[in-house]
Amino acid sequence: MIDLIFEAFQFAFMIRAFVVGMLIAISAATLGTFLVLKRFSMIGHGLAHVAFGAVAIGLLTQQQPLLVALPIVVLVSVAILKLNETANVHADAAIGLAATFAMAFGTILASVGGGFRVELNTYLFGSILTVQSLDVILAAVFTLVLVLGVVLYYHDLFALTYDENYARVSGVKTQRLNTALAIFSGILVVLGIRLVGTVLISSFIIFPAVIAMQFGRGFKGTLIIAVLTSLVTVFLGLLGSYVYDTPSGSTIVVLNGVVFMFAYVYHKFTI
Amino acid sequence: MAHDVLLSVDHLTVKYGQHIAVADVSFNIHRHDFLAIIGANGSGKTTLIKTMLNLKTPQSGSITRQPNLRVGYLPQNFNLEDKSFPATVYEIVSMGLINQKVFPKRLNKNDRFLIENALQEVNIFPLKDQRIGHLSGGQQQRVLLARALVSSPDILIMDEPTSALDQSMRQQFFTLIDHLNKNHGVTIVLITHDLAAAGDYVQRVLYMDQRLMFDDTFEAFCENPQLSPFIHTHPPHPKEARDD
Ligand SMILES: Nc1ncnc2c1ncn2[C@@H]1O[C@H](COP(=O)(O)OP(=O)(O)OP(=O)(O)O)[C@@H](O)[C@H]1O
Ligand SMILES: [Mg+2]
Repeated sequence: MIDLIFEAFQFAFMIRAFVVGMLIAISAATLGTFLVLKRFSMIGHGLAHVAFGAVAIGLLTQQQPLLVALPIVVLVSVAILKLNETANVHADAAIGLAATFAMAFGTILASVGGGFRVELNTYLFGSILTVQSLDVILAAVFTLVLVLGVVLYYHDLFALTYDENYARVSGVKTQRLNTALAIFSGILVVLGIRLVGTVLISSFIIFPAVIAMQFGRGFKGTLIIAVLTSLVTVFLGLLGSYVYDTPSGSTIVVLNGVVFMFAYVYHKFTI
Repeated sequence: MAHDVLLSVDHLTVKYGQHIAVADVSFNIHRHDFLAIIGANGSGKTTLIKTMLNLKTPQSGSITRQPNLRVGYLPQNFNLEDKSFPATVYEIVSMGLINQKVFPKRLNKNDRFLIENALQEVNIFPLKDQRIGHLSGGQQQRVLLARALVSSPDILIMDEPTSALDQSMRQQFFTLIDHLNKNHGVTIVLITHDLAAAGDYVQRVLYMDQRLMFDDTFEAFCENPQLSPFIHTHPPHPKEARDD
Protein backbone atom coordinates (compact mmCIF):
# COMPACT_ATOMS: atom_id res chain seq x y z
CA MET A 1 0.00 0.00 0.00
CA ILE A 2 2.69 2.47 1.05
CA ASP A 3 4.69 1.42 -1.98
CA LEU A 4 1.72 2.09 -4.18
CA ILE A 5 1.40 5.59 -2.75
CA PHE A 6 5.05 6.31 -3.46
CA GLU A 7 4.63 4.83 -6.87
CA ALA A 8 1.66 7.09 -7.56
CA PHE A 9 3.65 10.23 -6.93
CA GLN A 10 6.34 9.26 -9.36
CA PHE A 11 4.07 10.12 -12.23
CA ALA A 12 3.84 13.74 -13.24
CA PHE A 13 0.20 13.35 -14.21
CA MET A 14 -0.62 12.05 -10.73
CA ILE A 15 1.06 14.99 -9.06
CA ARG A 16 -0.83 17.34 -11.36
CA ALA A 17 -4.08 15.56 -10.56
CA PHE A 18 -3.43 15.78 -6.82
CA VAL A 19 -2.54 19.45 -6.94
CA VAL A 20 -5.59 20.35 -9.01
CA GLY A 21 -7.69 18.09 -6.79
CA MET A 22 -6.62 19.85 -3.60
CA LEU A 23 -7.14 23.28 -5.15
CA ILE A 24 -10.61 22.36 -6.40
CA ALA A 25 -11.32 20.86 -2.97
CA ILE A 26 -10.55 24.17 -1.27
CA SER A 27 -12.46 26.37 -3.68
CA ALA A 28 -15.48 24.08 -4.05
CA ALA A 29 -15.88 23.72 -0.28
CA THR A 30 -15.49 27.46 0.28
CA LEU A 31 -17.91 28.46 -2.41
CA GLY A 32 -20.18 25.54 -1.56
CA THR A 33 -20.70 26.68 2.01
CA PHE A 34 -22.14 29.97 0.80
CA LEU A 35 -24.15 28.37 -2.00
CA VAL A 36 -25.66 25.65 0.18
CA LEU A 37 -26.68 28.12 2.87
CA LYS A 38 -28.11 30.52 0.29
CA ARG A 39 -30.09 27.56 -1.07
CA PHE A 40 -28.31 27.91 -4.36
CA SER A 41 -26.33 24.69 -4.15
CA MET A 42 -27.86 23.09 -7.22
CA ILE A 43 -26.25 25.80 -9.34
CA GLY A 44 -23.22 23.50 -9.60
CA HIS A 45 -25.37 20.73 -10.99
CA GLY A 46 -27.15 23.04 -13.41
CA LEU A 47 -23.97 24.68 -14.65
CA ALA A 48 -22.36 21.29 -15.15
CA HIS A 49 -25.15 20.48 -17.62
CA VAL A 50 -24.58 23.78 -19.32
CA ALA A 51 -20.89 22.96 -19.49
CA PHE A 52 -21.79 19.67 -21.13
CA GLY A 53 -23.69 21.52 -23.86
CA ALA A 54 -20.87 24.01 -24.24
CA VAL A 55 -18.25 21.27 -24.50
CA ALA A 56 -20.31 19.76 -27.30
CA ILE A 57 -20.17 23.09 -29.13
CA GLY A 58 -16.41 23.17 -28.62
CA LEU A 59 -15.94 19.66 -29.96
CA LEU A 60 -18.16 20.30 -32.94
CA THR A 61 -16.34 23.50 -33.87
CA GLN A 62 -12.98 21.86 -33.14
CA GLN A 63 -12.07 24.39 -30.47
CA GLN A 64 -10.57 23.73 -27.04
CA PRO A 65 -13.84 22.55 -25.39
CA LEU A 66 -13.19 23.95 -21.92
CA LEU A 67 -12.19 27.34 -23.28
CA VAL A 68 -15.48 27.45 -25.17
CA ALA A 69 -17.33 26.33 -22.07
CA LEU A 70 -15.82 28.89 -19.70
CA PRO A 71 -17.49 32.09 -20.97
CA ILE A 72 -20.77 30.32 -21.72
CA VAL A 73 -21.04 28.75 -18.27
CA VAL A 74 -20.11 31.98 -16.49
CA LEU A 75 -22.68 33.89 -18.51
CA VAL A 76 -25.42 31.37 -17.84
CA SER A 77 -24.52 31.40 -14.15
CA VAL A 78 -25.02 35.16 -13.97
CA ALA A 79 -28.18 34.83 -16.05
CA ILE A 80 -29.62 32.29 -13.60
CA LEU A 81 -28.91 34.70 -10.77
CA LYS A 82 -30.58 37.59 -12.59
CA LEU A 83 -33.58 35.46 -13.48
CA ASN A 84 -33.90 34.60 -9.81
CA GLU A 85 -33.46 38.21 -8.66
CA THR A 86 -35.67 40.01 -11.13
CA ALA A 87 -38.22 37.67 -12.63
CA ASN A 88 -39.33 36.03 -9.41
CA VAL A 89 -38.24 32.62 -10.65
CA HIS A 90 -37.06 30.45 -7.75
CA ALA A 91 -33.42 29.42 -7.86
CA ASP A 92 -34.19 25.74 -8.32
CA ALA A 93 -36.55 26.44 -11.23
CA ALA A 94 -34.13 28.86 -12.90
CA ILE A 95 -31.34 26.30 -12.60
CA GLY A 96 -33.61 23.58 -13.94
CA LEU A 97 -34.48 25.67 -16.97
CA ALA A 98 -30.88 26.37 -17.90
CA ALA A 99 -29.66 22.84 -17.18
CA THR A 100 -32.25 20.94 -19.17
CA PHE A 101 -32.11 23.35 -22.08
CA ALA A 102 -28.32 23.10 -22.34
CA MET A 103 -28.37 19.33 -21.95
CA ALA A 104 -30.94 18.96 -24.71
CA PHE A 105 -28.99 21.35 -26.89
CA GLY A 106 -25.74 19.42 -26.29
CA THR A 107 -27.37 16.10 -27.07
CA ILE A 108 -28.72 17.40 -30.37
CA LEU A 109 -25.27 18.68 -31.28
CA ALA A 110 -23.81 15.32 -30.34
CA SER A 111 -26.28 13.48 -32.55
CA VAL A 112 -25.66 15.88 -35.43
CA GLY A 113 -21.91 15.75 -34.95
CA GLY A 114 -21.90 11.96 -34.75
CA GLY A 115 -18.18 11.35 -34.46
CA PHE A 116 -17.37 13.11 -31.21
CA ARG A 117 -19.75 11.27 -28.95
CA VAL A 118 -17.05 9.12 -27.38
CA GLU A 119 -14.94 12.12 -26.55
CA LEU A 120 -17.92 13.85 -25.03
CA ASN A 121 -18.23 10.92 -22.62
CA THR A 122 -14.86 11.63 -21.04
CA TYR A 123 -16.25 15.02 -20.03
CA LEU A 124 -19.12 13.33 -18.26
CA PHE A 125 -16.99 11.58 -15.66
CA GLY A 126 -13.64 13.31 -15.97
CA SER A 127 -10.28 11.67 -15.86
CA ILE A 128 -7.13 12.36 -13.90
CA LEU A 129 -5.11 11.41 -16.95
CA THR A 130 -6.27 14.46 -18.82
CA VAL A 131 -5.16 17.10 -16.29
CA GLN A 132 -2.58 19.40 -17.87
CA SER A 133 -0.13 21.96 -16.55
CA LEU A 134 -2.41 24.77 -17.65
CA ASP A 135 -5.15 23.31 -15.43
CA VAL A 136 -2.80 23.46 -12.48
CA ILE A 137 -2.00 27.12 -13.08
CA LEU A 138 -5.63 28.08 -13.65
CA ALA A 139 -6.81 26.22 -10.57
CA ALA A 140 -4.07 27.80 -8.45
CA VAL A 141 -4.86 31.35 -9.56
CA PHE A 142 -8.60 30.75 -9.19
CA THR A 143 -8.32 29.30 -5.69
CA LEU A 144 -6.00 32.07 -4.56
CA VAL A 145 -8.33 34.81 -5.79
CA LEU A 146 -11.37 33.10 -4.30
CA VAL A 147 -9.86 32.51 -0.88
CA LEU A 148 -8.47 36.04 -0.76
CA GLY A 149 -11.86 37.42 -1.74
CA VAL A 150 -13.63 35.42 0.95
CA VAL A 151 -11.13 36.51 3.61
CA LEU A 152 -11.42 40.18 2.64
CA TYR A 153 -15.20 40.19 2.29
CA TYR A 154 -15.93 37.64 5.01
CA HIS A 155 -18.33 39.76 7.06
CA ASP A 156 -20.23 41.03 4.05
CA LEU A 157 -20.55 37.50 2.67
CA PHE A 158 -21.74 36.17 6.00
CA ALA A 159 -24.42 38.85 6.25
CA LEU A 160 -25.43 38.26 2.64
CA THR A 161 -25.76 34.53 3.24
CA TYR A 162 -27.70 34.85 6.48
CA ASP A 163 -30.10 37.64 5.63
CA GLU A 164 -29.78 39.43 2.31
CA ASN A 165 -32.20 42.21 3.21
CA TYR A 166 -30.38 42.97 6.41
CA ALA A 167 -27.08 42.97 4.54
CA ARG A 168 -28.47 45.51 2.09
CA VAL A 169 -29.70 47.77 4.87
CA SER A 170 -26.20 47.54 6.36
CA GLY A 171 -24.67 48.88 3.17
CA VAL A 172 -23.39 45.59 1.79
CA LYS A 173 -23.19 45.62 -2.00
CA THR A 174 -25.35 42.53 -2.22
CA GLN A 175 -25.84 42.51 -5.99
CA ARG A 176 -22.14 42.77 -6.66
CA LEU A 177 -21.33 39.98 -4.21
CA ASN A 178 -24.03 37.75 -5.63
CA THR A 179 -22.72 38.32 -9.12
CA ALA A 180 -19.21 37.52 -7.93
CA LEU A 181 -20.46 34.27 -6.38
CA ALA A 182 -22.19 33.37 -9.65
CA ILE A 183 -19.06 34.06 -11.69
CA PHE A 184 -16.86 32.03 -9.34
CA SER A 185 -19.37 29.17 -9.46
CA GLY A 186 -19.21 29.15 -13.24
CA ILE A 187 -15.41 29.09 -13.32
CA LEU A 188 -15.26 26.40 -10.63
CA VAL A 189 -17.55 24.09 -12.56
CA VAL A 190 -15.48 24.39 -15.75
CA LEU A 191 -12.18 23.93 -13.90
CA GLY A 192 -13.54 20.91 -12.07
CA ILE A 193 -14.80 19.12 -15.16
CA ARG A 194 -11.41 17.77 -16.23
CA LEU A 195 -10.94 15.98 -12.95
CA VAL A 196 -14.44 15.16 -11.81
CA GLY A 197 -16.63 15.39 -14.87
CA THR A 198 -19.90 17.21 -15.32
CA VAL A 199 -21.99 14.55 -13.61
CA LEU A 200 -20.37 14.73 -10.19
CA ILE A 201 -18.99 18.25 -9.83
CA SER A 202 -21.93 19.49 -7.78
CA SER A 203 -21.14 16.96 -5.06
CA PHE A 204 -17.83 18.80 -4.50
CA ILE A 205 -19.87 21.90 -3.79
CA ILE A 206 -22.55 20.31 -1.62
CA PHE A 207 -20.99 17.50 0.42
CA PRO A 208 -18.31 19.41 2.37
CA ALA A 209 -20.75 22.11 3.47
CA VAL A 210 -23.42 19.63 4.51
CA ILE A 211 -20.90 17.50 6.39
CA ALA A 212 -19.44 20.57 8.12
CA MET A 213 -22.90 21.74 9.18
CA GLN A 214 -23.19 18.59 11.29
CA PHE A 215 -20.20 19.71 13.35
CA GLY A 216 -19.86 23.47 13.23
CA ARG A 217 -21.93 25.62 15.54
CA GLY A 218 -20.91 28.85 13.93
CA PHE A 219 -20.39 30.07 10.42
CA LYS A 220 -16.63 30.46 10.46
CA GLY A 221 -16.19 27.04 12.04
CA THR A 222 -18.42 25.46 9.43
CA LEU A 223 -16.49 27.09 6.62
CA ILE A 224 -13.16 25.83 7.97
CA ILE A 225 -14.46 22.31 8.65
CA ALA A 226 -15.89 22.18 5.12
CA VAL A 227 -12.51 23.00 3.58
CA LEU A 228 -10.67 20.48 5.76
CA THR A 229 -13.21 17.74 5.05
CA SER A 230 -12.97 18.45 1.37
CA LEU A 231 -9.17 18.28 1.37
CA VAL A 232 -9.15 14.96 3.21
CA THR A 233 -11.82 13.29 1.07
CA VAL A 234 -10.30 14.48 -2.20
CA PHE A 235 -6.83 13.34 -1.17
CA LEU A 236 -7.97 9.91 0.02
CA GLY A 237 -10.39 9.59 -2.88
CA LEU A 238 -7.72 10.25 -5.50
CA LEU A 239 -5.37 7.85 -3.77
CA GLY A 240 -8.09 5.23 -3.59
CA SER A 241 -8.90 5.70 -7.23
CA TYR A 242 -5.25 5.10 -8.12
CA VAL A 243 -4.82 2.10 -5.86
CA TYR A 244 -8.09 0.37 -6.76
CA ASP A 245 -8.23 1.69 -10.30
CA THR A 246 -11.68 3.24 -9.83
CA PRO A 247 -12.98 6.47 -11.45
CA SER A 248 -11.58 9.41 -9.46
CA GLY A 249 -14.72 11.54 -9.23
CA SER A 250 -16.93 8.64 -8.17
CA THR A 251 -14.43 7.45 -5.57
CA ILE A 252 -14.32 10.90 -3.96
CA VAL A 253 -18.10 11.20 -3.95
CA VAL A 254 -18.61 7.77 -2.40
CA LEU A 255 -16.08 8.63 0.27
CA ASN A 256 -17.96 11.87 0.92
CA GLY A 257 -21.17 9.90 1.25
CA VAL A 258 -19.63 7.63 3.89
CA VAL A 259 -18.21 10.60 5.82
CA PHE A 260 -21.59 12.29 5.67
CA MET A 261 -23.30 9.25 7.18
CA PHE A 262 -20.86 9.22 10.08
CA ALA A 263 -21.23 12.98 10.52
CA TYR A 264 -25.01 12.66 10.52
CA VAL A 265 -24.97 9.95 13.18
CA TYR A 266 -22.49 11.98 15.24
CA HIS A 267 -24.77 15.03 14.99
CA LYS A 268 -27.85 13.05 16.03
CA PHE A 269 -26.18 11.81 19.17
CA THR A 270 -24.39 14.94 20.27
CA ILE A 271 -26.43 18.04 19.53
CA MET B 1 -34.74 69.66 6.06
CA ALA B 2 -35.12 70.96 9.59
CA HIS B 3 -32.23 70.00 11.77
CA ASP B 4 -34.00 67.55 14.00
CA VAL B 5 -35.85 65.71 11.28
CA LEU B 6 -34.03 62.39 10.92
CA LEU B 7 -36.16 60.97 8.20
CA SER B 8 -38.83 62.45 6.02
CA VAL B 9 -41.46 60.52 4.09
CA ASP B 10 -43.05 62.57 1.34
CA HIS B 11 -46.17 61.52 -0.59
CA LEU B 12 -45.00 57.94 -0.69
CA THR B 13 -46.83 55.37 -2.78
CA VAL B 14 -45.56 51.80 -2.98
CA LYS B 15 -46.95 49.01 -5.13
CA TYR B 16 -46.45 45.28 -5.59
CA GLY B 17 -47.28 44.87 -9.25
CA GLN B 18 -50.70 46.49 -9.54
CA HIS B 19 -51.45 46.14 -5.85
CA ILE B 20 -51.10 49.35 -3.87
CA ALA B 21 -49.62 48.59 -0.45
CA VAL B 22 -48.85 52.13 0.68
CA ALA B 23 -50.81 55.10 -0.69
CA ASP B 24 -49.68 58.73 -0.52
CA VAL B 25 -48.14 58.63 2.93
CA SER B 26 -46.30 61.65 4.35
CA PHE B 27 -44.75 62.20 7.78
CA ASN B 28 -41.52 63.24 9.45
CA ILE B 29 -39.57 61.39 12.11
CA HIS B 30 -37.90 63.73 14.58
CA ARG B 31 -34.94 63.02 16.80
CA HIS B 32 -36.04 61.47 20.13
CA ASP B 33 -39.39 60.37 18.72
CA PHE B 34 -40.88 57.19 20.11
CA LEU B 35 -43.48 56.25 17.57
CA ALA B 36 -45.62 53.22 17.00
CA ILE B 37 -46.96 52.24 13.60
CA ILE B 38 -50.15 50.25 13.93
CA GLY B 39 -52.73 48.82 11.54
CA ALA B 40 -54.36 45.56 10.55
CA ASN B 41 -52.55 42.70 8.80
CA GLY B 42 -51.74 43.72 5.27
CA SER B 43 -52.22 47.44 5.91
CA GLY B 44 -48.76 48.27 4.55
CA LYS B 45 -46.68 48.71 7.71
CA THR B 46 -43.84 46.43 6.76
CA THR B 47 -43.84 47.76 3.22
CA LEU B 48 -43.59 51.30 4.54
CA ILE B 49 -40.52 50.66 6.64
CA LYS B 50 -38.90 48.51 3.97
CA THR B 51 -39.19 51.48 1.66
CA MET B 52 -37.79 53.73 4.36
CA LEU B 53 -34.80 51.37 4.52
CA ASN B 54 -34.30 51.40 0.73
CA LEU B 55 -35.23 47.74 0.47
CA LYS B 56 -38.10 48.59 -1.82
CA THR B 57 -38.39 51.20 -4.53
CA PRO B 58 -41.43 53.47 -4.25
CA GLN B 59 -43.83 54.03 -7.11
CA SER B 60 -43.84 57.74 -6.37
CA GLY B 61 -42.88 60.09 -3.57
CA SER B 62 -39.61 60.14 -1.75
CA ILE B 63 -37.70 59.30 1.42
CA THR B 64 -35.12 61.76 2.69
CA ARG B 65 -32.72 60.65 5.39
CA GLN B 66 -30.38 62.81 7.37
CA PRO B 67 -26.89 62.16 6.03
CA ASN B 68 -24.83 59.57 7.94
CA LEU B 69 -27.88 58.44 9.87
CA ARG B 70 -27.11 55.23 11.74
CA VAL B 71 -30.05 52.89 11.47
CA GLY B 72 -30.65 49.79 13.56
CA TYR B 73 -33.13 47.44 11.92
CA LEU B 74 -35.01 44.53 13.42
CA PRO B 75 -36.87 42.71 10.64
CA GLN B 76 -40.22 40.95 11.00
CA ASN B 77 -39.46 37.69 9.25
CA PHE B 78 -36.00 36.40 8.73
CA ASN B 79 -34.09 33.18 8.76
CA LEU B 80 -35.72 31.94 11.98
CA GLU B 81 -37.32 29.04 10.15
CA ASP B 82 -33.93 27.63 9.18
CA LYS B 83 -32.94 25.70 12.30
CA SER B 84 -29.88 24.25 10.63
CA PHE B 85 -28.15 27.48 9.66
CA PRO B 86 -24.72 27.37 11.28
CA ALA B 87 -24.30 30.75 12.93
CA THR B 88 -23.71 31.50 16.59
CA VAL B 89 -25.52 34.18 18.54
CA TYR B 90 -22.22 36.05 18.74
CA GLU B 91 -21.76 35.95 14.97
CA ILE B 92 -25.29 37.22 14.37
CA VAL B 93 -24.80 40.16 16.72
CA SER B 94 -21.45 40.99 15.12
CA MET B 95 -23.34 41.49 11.86
CA GLY B 96 -24.79 44.65 13.41
CA LEU B 97 -21.40 46.32 13.23
CA ILE B 98 -20.67 45.92 9.53
CA ASN B 99 -22.56 49.04 8.52
CA GLN B 100 -19.92 51.25 10.12
CA LYS B 101 -16.87 49.31 9.00
CA VAL B 102 -14.81 49.98 5.92
CA PHE B 103 -13.00 47.51 3.72
CA PRO B 104 -11.48 45.19 4.79
CA LYS B 105 -13.94 44.71 7.61
CA ARG B 106 -12.38 43.23 10.74
CA LEU B 107 -13.60 42.96 14.32
CA ASN B 108 -11.22 44.57 16.79
CA LYS B 109 -11.08 44.50 20.57
CA ASN B 110 -13.49 47.39 20.92
CA ASP B 111 -15.99 45.65 18.62
CA ARG B 112 -15.86 42.53 20.75
CA PHE B 113 -16.50 44.70 23.79
CA LEU B 114 -19.51 46.27 22.07
CA ILE B 115 -20.88 42.87 21.10
CA GLU B 116 -20.55 41.49 24.62
CA ASN B 117 -22.17 44.63 25.97
CA ALA B 118 -25.13 44.29 23.63
CA LEU B 119 -25.50 40.62 24.55
CA GLN B 120 -25.52 41.53 28.21
CA GLU B 121 -28.00 44.33 27.69
CA VAL B 122 -30.63 41.93 26.35
CA ASN B 123 -29.75 39.16 28.81
CA ILE B 124 -28.43 36.54 26.43
CA PHE B 125 -24.74 36.66 27.16
CA PRO B 126 -24.61 33.01 28.34
CA LEU B 127 -26.08 31.93 24.99
CA LYS B 128 -23.43 33.64 22.90
CA ASP B 129 -21.86 30.45 21.53
CA GLN B 130 -25.14 28.68 20.82
CA ARG B 131 -26.38 28.10 17.33
CA ILE B 132 -29.11 30.67 16.58
CA GLY B 133 -31.51 27.99 15.36
CA HIS B 134 -31.40 26.17 18.70
CA LEU B 135 -32.84 29.14 20.60
CA SER B 136 -36.48 29.77 21.40
CA GLY B 137 -38.41 32.38 19.41
CA GLY B 138 -38.17 34.93 22.19
CA GLN B 139 -34.46 34.35 22.65
CA GLN B 140 -33.96 34.79 18.93
CA GLN B 141 -35.80 38.10 18.98
CA ARG B 142 -33.48 39.25 21.73
CA VAL B 143 -30.52 38.30 19.55
CA LEU B 144 -31.94 40.45 16.78
CA LEU B 145 -32.44 43.30 19.21
CA ALA B 146 -28.82 42.99 20.31
CA ARG B 147 -27.77 43.08 16.66
CA ALA B 148 -29.80 46.24 16.11
CA LEU B 149 -28.36 47.85 19.27
CA VAL B 150 -24.71 46.97 18.91
CA SER B 151 -23.82 49.83 16.60
CA SER B 152 -25.42 52.48 18.87
CA PRO B 153 -27.88 53.56 16.19
CA ASP B 154 -29.48 57.01 16.01
CA ILE B 155 -32.76 55.38 15.07
CA LEU B 156 -34.08 51.89 15.76
CA ILE B 157 -36.63 50.61 13.28
CA MET B 158 -38.37 47.47 14.52
CA ASP B 159 -41.00 45.32 12.87
CA GLU B 160 -43.11 43.55 15.51
CA PRO B 161 -40.15 42.95 17.81
CA THR B 162 -42.22 41.63 20.71
CA SER B 163 -44.41 39.12 18.88
CA ALA B 164 -42.49 36.12 20.28
CA LEU B 165 -41.74 37.51 23.73
CA ASP B 166 -43.39 36.37 26.94
CA GLN B 167 -45.08 38.85 29.26
CA SER B 168 -42.05 39.57 31.43
CA MET B 169 -39.63 39.75 28.49
CA ARG B 170 -42.03 42.12 26.77
CA GLN B 171 -41.96 44.44 29.77
CA GLN B 172 -38.16 44.19 29.92
CA PHE B 173 -37.99 44.91 26.21
CA PHE B 174 -40.07 48.07 26.44
CA THR B 175 -38.19 49.21 29.53
CA LEU B 176 -34.94 48.77 27.61
CA ILE B 177 -35.94 50.69 24.51
CA ASP B 178 -37.54 53.35 26.69
CA HIS B 179 -34.22 53.69 28.50
CA LEU B 180 -32.42 53.99 25.15
CA ASN B 181 -34.93 56.62 24.06
CA LYS B 182 -34.85 58.71 27.22
CA ASN B 183 -31.21 58.44 28.23
CA HIS B 184 -29.37 57.85 24.97
CA GLY B 185 -31.60 59.83 22.66
CA VAL B 186 -32.28 56.88 20.38
CA THR B 187 -35.25 57.46 18.10
CA ILE B 188 -37.66 54.53 18.17
CA VAL B 189 -39.93 53.42 15.34
CA LEU B 190 -41.93 50.38 16.27
CA ILE B 191 -44.47 48.38 14.34
CA THR B 192 -46.71 46.64 16.81
CA HIS B 193 -50.04 44.89 17.22
CA ASP B 194 -49.66 45.31 20.94
CA LEU B 195 -50.37 48.93 21.72
CA ALA B 196 -51.75 47.89 25.09
CA ALA B 197 -48.27 46.83 26.22
CA ALA B 198 -46.43 49.58 24.35
CA GLY B 199 -48.81 52.31 25.49
CA ASP B 200 -46.83 53.34 28.56
CA TYR B 201 -43.89 54.32 26.39
CA VAL B 202 -45.20 55.33 22.99
CA GLN B 203 -45.40 59.09 22.40
CA ARG B 204 -46.80 59.13 18.90
CA VAL B 205 -49.05 56.79 16.95
CA LEU B 206 -49.28 56.31 13.19
CA TYR B 207 -52.28 54.30 12.12
CA MET B 208 -51.96 52.78 8.65
CA ASP B 209 -54.56 51.40 6.30
CA GLN B 210 -52.75 51.79 3.00
CA ARG B 211 -53.09 55.49 3.68
CA LEU B 212 -51.91 57.13 6.85
CA MET B 213 -55.24 57.45 8.68
CA PHE B 214 -53.96 58.97 11.91
CA ASP B 215 -50.76 60.65 13.05
CA ASP B 216 -50.76 62.30 16.47
CA THR B 217 -49.79 61.80 20.10
CA PHE B 218 -50.70 58.67 22.00
CA GLU B 219 -53.04 60.73 24.22
CA ALA B 220 -54.91 62.08 21.20
CA PHE B 221 -55.13 58.55 19.89
CA CYS B 222 -56.71 57.32 23.13
CA GLU B 223 -59.19 60.15 23.21
CA ASN B 224 -60.31 59.52 19.66
CA PRO B 225 -63.57 57.59 20.05
CA GLN B 226 -63.12 55.85 16.70
CA LEU B 227 -59.61 54.70 17.38
CA SER B 228 -59.44 54.02 21.09
CA PRO B 229 -60.90 50.48 20.82
CA PHE B 230 -57.59 49.67 19.18
CA ILE B 231 -55.82 49.73 22.48
CA HIS B 232 -57.94 46.91 23.80
CA THR B 233 -58.23 44.74 20.74
CA HIS B 234 -55.40 42.41 20.00
CA PRO B 235 -54.74 42.12 17.18
CA PRO B 236 -56.63 45.20 16.04
CA HIS B 237 -59.63 44.93 13.81
CA PRO B 238 -59.64 47.47 10.98
CA LYS B 239 -63.41 47.98 10.81
CA GLU B 240 -63.69 49.42 14.28
CA ALA B 241 -61.24 52.12 13.42
CA ARG B 242 -62.50 53.02 10.02
CA ASP B 243 -66.07 54.21 10.75
CA ASP B 244 -65.23 57.85 10.19
N1 LIG C 1 -43.68 40.47 -1.61
C1 LIG C 1 -44.96 40.83 -1.84
N2 LIG C 1 -45.50 40.64 -3.05
C2 LIG C 1 -46.77 41.02 -3.31
N3 LIG C 1 -47.58 41.61 -2.42
C3 LIG C 1 -47.09 41.85 -1.19
C4 LIG C 1 -45.76 41.47 -0.83
N4 LIG C 1 -45.55 41.84 0.45
C5 LIG C 1 -46.69 42.39 0.87
N5 LIG C 1 -47.62 42.42 -0.10
C6 LIG C 1 -48.97 42.98 -0.01
O1 LIG C 1 -48.86 44.33 0.38
C7 LIG C 1 -49.79 44.64 1.38
C8 LIG C 1 -49.09 45.18 2.59
O2 LIG C 1 -48.27 44.18 3.16
P1 LIG C 1 -47.36 44.45 4.42
O3 LIG C 1 -46.48 43.27 4.62
O4 LIG C 1 -46.73 45.78 4.29
O5 LIG C 1 -48.46 44.50 5.59
P2 LIG C 1 -48.28 44.65 7.15
O6 LIG C 1 -49.07 45.84 7.55
O7 LIG C 1 -46.86 44.62 7.54
O8 LIG C 1 -49.02 43.36 7.70
P3 LIG C 1 -48.71 42.40 8.97
O9 LIG C 1 -49.36 43.03 10.15
O10 LIG C 1 -49.38 41.13 8.61
O11 LIG C 1 -47.23 42.25 9.10
C9 LIG C 1 -50.57 43.35 1.64
O12 LIG C 1 -51.80 43.46 0.97
C10 LIG C 1 -49.75 42.28 1.06
O13 LIG C 1 -50.56 41.28 0.49
MG1 LIG D 1 -45.66 43.31 8.60
